[in-house]
Amino acid sequence: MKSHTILLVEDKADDEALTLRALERQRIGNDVRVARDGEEALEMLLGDDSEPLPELVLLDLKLPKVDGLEVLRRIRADKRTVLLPVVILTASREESDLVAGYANGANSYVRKPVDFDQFAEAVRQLGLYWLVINEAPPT
Amino acid sequence: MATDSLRSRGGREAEDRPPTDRDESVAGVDESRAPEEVHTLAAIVDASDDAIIAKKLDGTIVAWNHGASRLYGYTAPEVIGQPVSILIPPGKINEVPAILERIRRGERVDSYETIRRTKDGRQIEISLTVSPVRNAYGEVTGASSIGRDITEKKKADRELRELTEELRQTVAELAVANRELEAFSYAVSHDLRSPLRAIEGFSQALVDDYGEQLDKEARQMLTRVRVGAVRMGELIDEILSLSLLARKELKPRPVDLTEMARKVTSDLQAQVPDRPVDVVLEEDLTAYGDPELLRIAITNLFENAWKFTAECAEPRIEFRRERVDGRSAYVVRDNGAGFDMRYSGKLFQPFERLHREDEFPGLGVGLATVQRVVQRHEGAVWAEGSPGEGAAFYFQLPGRNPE
Repeated sequence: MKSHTILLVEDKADDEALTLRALERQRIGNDVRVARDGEEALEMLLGDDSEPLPELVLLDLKLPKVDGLEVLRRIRADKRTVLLPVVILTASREESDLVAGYANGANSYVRKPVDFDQFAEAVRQLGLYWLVINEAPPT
Repeated sequence: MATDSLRSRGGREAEDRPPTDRDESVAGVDESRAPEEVHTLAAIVDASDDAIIAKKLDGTIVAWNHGASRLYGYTAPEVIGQPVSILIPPGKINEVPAILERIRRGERVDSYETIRRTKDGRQIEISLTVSPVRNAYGEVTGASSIGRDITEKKKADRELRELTEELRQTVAELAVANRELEAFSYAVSHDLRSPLRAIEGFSQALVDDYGEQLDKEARQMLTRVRVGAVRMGELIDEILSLSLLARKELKPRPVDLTEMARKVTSDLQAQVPDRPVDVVLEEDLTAYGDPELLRIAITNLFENAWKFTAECAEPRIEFRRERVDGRSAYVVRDNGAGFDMRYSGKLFQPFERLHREDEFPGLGVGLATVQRVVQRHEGAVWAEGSPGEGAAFYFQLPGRNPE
């Protein structure tokens, strides 16, 4: 059974609230699960085989315990999740992060703007693209 | 006297040997005219700045030039007949037999650095070259040493080594500081923006969710909160850019500044299509520098010119090369708002502005950025202007500048 969930991996409560708010505007707020650190994210994705995988992962890079890039690597290393669309959603615009993100297999890299309206617009477009326009890989 | 002893030796040998038994003449001396020639040679030896000392194979000093007197402090009469060991400090006494042994075998000791002792007990560092002295039959009869005082040179060498070590350490420290700055910039980039997003986002949320309960003034206040947060985000970005400029590795190569300016002005024009600006670019303006950094500088200069001609009826921006004080400089000139030369010192400081925010928007980092780029290229930048009559920004980029 295909799920329509998004897994949001975000440690900061404010950012989580704002991202959920933006997603709710697009009426996809109900289908979002949140992991608050890298370890939790991996547990949710790779821990229990009976849990369906999300359709999209929104991944922050700076996470406690296991950081974002390591989560990404483990997602790509596991055959259950190797095709899973992952969008890096982060404050960093450092070139090194950009390179590392793509090099480790991210599908997309989005920098969070300070302006909430801009952010909400970015989220709208992300939701539209990844959940509607884009063909998700088969599970 | 040194010259006497040398002369007498040469002279005696010239008398004792029949001409047919000799191999070759010594030092090009025609020994039939021996006394005068030898006198000349002896004078040359004596006048030398180096310490020239002749010894017998048992180490007895037989000749001593002026240079040796100056170096060691002994006059010739004081040392002739003495063992050469009087010049050797205690730790080096073993050198003498070793050197003389090699001389006995006909070998030469070349540029040997060691320590000797002067008459007043001082130790000096010298470089010695010791050669065998042969008689007319080729037999080694003694040694001739030429010594040069290298105390000063050695001191200079040591100082150089110390300075080089200091330099190495400073470079290492700089590398560490740079890495720390890099890490700091990264932390700033990430961690400062997060609370800003919260400030901005939740202010907006207040307006969205409780807007009806808020009066107009309250909503305006929230707008100002949001604007402040966004602006702070921009400031952080600018600081980071400036810091990056200081750290970035320069990759210089020939750059066509005219082409660069053409692209930049074409982009700027596209952003504000309903306000045409007359742009005059001198052709073939080339420079030697890092293309990325120069692009940033050119962009900032033209953005500046664009901004300050915003209220001009017929805005005109020129990019030329001109001669200033005998040297070549590039100049971006506009006919816009200009500035008061009294404040020109603040012009290139980061975050300093010469106009109010409501007159001309901006953060005040554009020109600081230009200055930083030009400084990284070891060039100079300066400006001239007059209120209401436009401004001219000059910059020089040394290093393979086609004059």
